[in-house]
Amino acid sequence: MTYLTEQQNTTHTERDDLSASVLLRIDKECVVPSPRWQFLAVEYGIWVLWGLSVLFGAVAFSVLIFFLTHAGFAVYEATHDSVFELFIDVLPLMWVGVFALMAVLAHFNLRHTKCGYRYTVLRVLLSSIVFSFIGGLLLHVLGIGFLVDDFMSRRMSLFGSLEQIETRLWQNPVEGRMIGTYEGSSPLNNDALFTDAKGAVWHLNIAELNAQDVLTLEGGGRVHVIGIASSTTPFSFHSCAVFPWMLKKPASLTEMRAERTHFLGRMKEHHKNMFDELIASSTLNRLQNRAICGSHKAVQRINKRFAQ
Amino acid sequence: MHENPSSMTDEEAVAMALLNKEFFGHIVLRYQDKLSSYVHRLGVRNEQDREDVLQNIFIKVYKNLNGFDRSLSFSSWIYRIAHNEAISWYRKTNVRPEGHMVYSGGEEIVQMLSTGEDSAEKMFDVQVNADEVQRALYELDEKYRDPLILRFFEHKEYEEIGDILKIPQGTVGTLIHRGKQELKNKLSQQHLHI
Repeated sequence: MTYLTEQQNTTHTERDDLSASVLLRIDKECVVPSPRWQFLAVEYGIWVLWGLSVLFGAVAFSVLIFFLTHAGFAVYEATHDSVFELFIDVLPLMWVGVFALMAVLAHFNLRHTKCGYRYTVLRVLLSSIVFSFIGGLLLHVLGIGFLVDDFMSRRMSLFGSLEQIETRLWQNPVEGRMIGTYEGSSPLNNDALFTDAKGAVWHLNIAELNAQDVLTLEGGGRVHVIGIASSTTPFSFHSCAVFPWMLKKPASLTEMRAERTHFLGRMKEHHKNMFDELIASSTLNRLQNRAICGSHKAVQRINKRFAQ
Repeated sequence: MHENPSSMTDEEAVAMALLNKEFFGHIVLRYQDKLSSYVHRLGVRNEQDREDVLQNIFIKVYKNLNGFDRSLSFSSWIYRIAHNEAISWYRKTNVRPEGHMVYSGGEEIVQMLSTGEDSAEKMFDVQVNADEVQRALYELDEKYRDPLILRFFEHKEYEEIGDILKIPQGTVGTLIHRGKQELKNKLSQQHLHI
């Protein structure tokens, strides 16, 4: 006999039996419906967790934006051959990881809401990511990315802050880059005294700096200096251009564009000076002090790029 | 209050059961046959086991009455609980779902395989051995078997299947399509051509 037939033959008494036994068990085990607030609490709890995941994802994204907009892309030729190389070098994997983790958590939470299962994985994941993107942009505009990076670098020495990355990229006199602060003029000559990020005092030759560079250098704040290390006894550095330290606050797009324009202008100027000097002089020795910056890697990179 | 509880909608019956548990008996009466068939199809073959599973299902339904999501049909909600309870039962008893389909012959299964996207394909060359088909269905991966059972034996719409199994509607369609293909492949291996 098939099960359907069995079912069809089931008597009303048997049907009532299950109903009665269920009601009896409800009585016996004192089963009561769980209160509605418990279900609401779980549902709202999941939404709150989703909100938190999106919020933390947004924070991670705002720090990522901060990194990617302040990592020195405006002057990338000073440190790298291409924007891509710089991007790979400065990409904060920890924040990428945090962002990815939060996206997965947000997806997990959303899937566990009452209606979350109705949407595809891609749609749920993308919606959480889009919310984090929008939130991240907003937080970045409010300067949260900068504040988080700043806070984390102060509290956690091992945390790879943008400042640490900048120091790693820029404190390299042999490669023609330094960061530090102006200390005053040397009493012996016209050189500027400059303390780099490692505390070494350098004599900066400022013959090839223009008025804006000098103003930036003497402004008193931390600066980037591009140049050529000429001696280590004493520490001498022929400076070619000076740029403000942009990490002290979230820089605007206008400021970054201005930095880019200034950088390109200065590098092209150095190239032109060197070219003019070469035409005017018979030997390369005469390039000293007046057009030495033309041989800097950054100048050559820019010249090569624009010559193509 | 309704004079006749059988004329109540499910939602009304739920509301009444929350006020007076005796009304819950009507919900049990309304769904016990359907759910009994369903858990049987899911593989709970032994009558005593099935009765235990059914009792557990209804107790769970009663406990969670306040959590009934009114954006779903009550039927989808109770089937979801039944499905989960049947799965829990397998896990607890550590047995594989047993393949004992409820059918009145091979027609239902055969119809299942020839419905929908594949209807243009050639029809039945060989008399289908329903036992073989049934065995093949139970050899299918659970993710294909469950939607197939709900669609072709419980006659649920894709939306309801999605609500019961907690998967998107599009995925239901895909699983049913693939499930049918898988089933056909299994039957071909057994030299049964649909």
